[in-house]
Amino acid sequence: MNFLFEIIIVTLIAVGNLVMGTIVYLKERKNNVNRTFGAFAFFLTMWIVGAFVSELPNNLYLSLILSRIVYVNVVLVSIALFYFSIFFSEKKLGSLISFIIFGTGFVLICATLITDLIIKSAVFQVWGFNLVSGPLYFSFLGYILILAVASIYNLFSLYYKSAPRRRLQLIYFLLGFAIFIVINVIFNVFVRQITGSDVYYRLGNYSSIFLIGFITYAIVKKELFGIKVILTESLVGLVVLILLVDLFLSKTIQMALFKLSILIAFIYLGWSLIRSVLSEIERREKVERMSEELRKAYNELKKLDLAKNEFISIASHQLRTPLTIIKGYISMILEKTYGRVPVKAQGPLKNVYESNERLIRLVNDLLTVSKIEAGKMEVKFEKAKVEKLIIDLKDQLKLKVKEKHLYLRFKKPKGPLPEMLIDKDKIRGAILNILENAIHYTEKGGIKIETKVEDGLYEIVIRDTGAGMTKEEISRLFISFSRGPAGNKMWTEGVGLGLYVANKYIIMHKGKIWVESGGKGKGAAFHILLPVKKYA
Amino acid sequence: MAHMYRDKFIGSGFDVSVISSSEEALEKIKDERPDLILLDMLLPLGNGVYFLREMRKMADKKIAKTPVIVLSNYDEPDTRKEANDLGIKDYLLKTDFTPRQLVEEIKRLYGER
Repeated sequence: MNFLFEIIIVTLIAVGNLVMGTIVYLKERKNNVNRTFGAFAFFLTMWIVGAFVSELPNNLYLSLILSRIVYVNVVLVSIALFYFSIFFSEKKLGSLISFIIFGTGFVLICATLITDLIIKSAVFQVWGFNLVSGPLYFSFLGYILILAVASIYNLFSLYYKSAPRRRLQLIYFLLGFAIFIVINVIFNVFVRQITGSDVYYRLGNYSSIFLIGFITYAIVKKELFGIKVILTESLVGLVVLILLVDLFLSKTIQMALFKLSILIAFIYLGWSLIRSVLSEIERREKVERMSEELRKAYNELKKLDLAKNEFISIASHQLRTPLTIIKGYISMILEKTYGRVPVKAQGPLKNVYESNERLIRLVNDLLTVSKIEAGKMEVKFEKAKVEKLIIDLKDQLKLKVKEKHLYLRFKKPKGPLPEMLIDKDKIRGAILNILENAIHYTEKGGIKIETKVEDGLYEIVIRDTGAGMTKEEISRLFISFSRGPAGNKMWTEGVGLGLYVANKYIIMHKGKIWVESGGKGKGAAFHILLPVKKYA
Repeated sequence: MAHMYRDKFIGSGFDVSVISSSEEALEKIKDERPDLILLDMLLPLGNGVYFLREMRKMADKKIAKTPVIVLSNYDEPDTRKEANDLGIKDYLLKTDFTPRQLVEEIKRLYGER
């Protein structure tokens, strides 16, 4: 390999590794992870520089001494990496194990430096020199291997238990190790096989820049989105390096110029590629930040919603308690539990009872609406006959209708109507709300109920001879008080939220509700449609 | 309100004990061994769900399985679900019933047993 070229490469990589090691160390000087990584980068650089320098002298003895120093650095690199993995994975190490690691390391360093047990001698070869192993060489290799395997195990054993950021850091470490190992295999095994020479083997060592680079990035950078850009940069860098080597190996000026133009074009294209990846990452980071803000806002709203629902539940309870007591005692007075009630007092007492019932309904509707709007209203489907519900409701409202001198008729269908899967309470509630509304607005005549099944749809029609409605009133009828226009006449007259609730109940059954009226004083017809086939 | 219901139930032939906290109720059911419990959900010192859970855990299986009907004006879907999961017979709202209607409903529900 071109000597000048190799000096440039070694210098660049050594400076790069040292700068990165120093950056990590300075970032948090008191953190053991940063300290051990700094040491790891330093010893690794010494190893690489040493390996290069040991080839330079034409003196075998000097090369042997330099090689021994390189071996010492290999021990120190392994120890630094092992402790880095321990601190990073937040593991605890017993003092005995530490003693064994340092003790063995110390013995091996001494054996390397002052005995022939690890490296016996150096012999000349065509490309430089070869080292002859000593009797304890395999113990040395074993020590390095154990520490390397233990380090990788420490780092990745916690992968599945780690938080996402830590996992991403580990992926970066893994990538750094993988590139380091792959390039080493390429230059130390394949290139050696192809060229039959050890000339290029040191290029494997130089890939340590990726290892140090990836780990530095993962430790220093807060946001670890840039895995794509790092990979792109690495790839571009690698190709530039290969093109550069190729350029230095040119045999003619023309060839060198041609390769130089290719290199410049590639650098330009590579830079554009990196920039486009960077802008994509920026966009992703922005989206991520925004989604994080949205998530926070959503959680805040959820909390507020919970608080609101709880408040409504408690407030409803507090409102219902006095209403229950009024209902209970008035009913017992009217039932003569406490003795005879003067005829003159019976009418007013009934009025109090009725007003109280309206208040109870209003509170119930209020709670129902809050449940519907919070999405907490569950539908429990069961087999039931709608006619039976109507007959029960007719019974329930008999007295009320009689008091207003109205009629309430149910025109039963000719044939039997199917049993349906419905939420009985909700359908009963919807029909009751419509009937009560009809009774409230009817002063003369009465209410008729009809049912029929047509085209797989069950239709209930409730017709009254009451006040009727204008088109504008119809359009606002099923709107919640909170969404309707201010001062909606329906609310001021005290009908409450019944029709809104009825509409929601029918929608829960995938049905439809609407009203028809000829106008003021012409009565109204409420229609309810429920799908039969779907639930039957 | 409890007195109003007590008077009505006694008048209808029931033996009634009114207890106002869940802790006291957990003690008393061991001696009184009621046939039926009408339980409110908002109680001092532990709510109705707490009482239900503790009662169902009792060593005496007969007491643990005492039928319970919730009678409350507190109506919150999660609480209702929890109570249902703890095996109540029904969840009634006080405002839906006059005392007489309540007695009839309880007779109907208890009669179903």
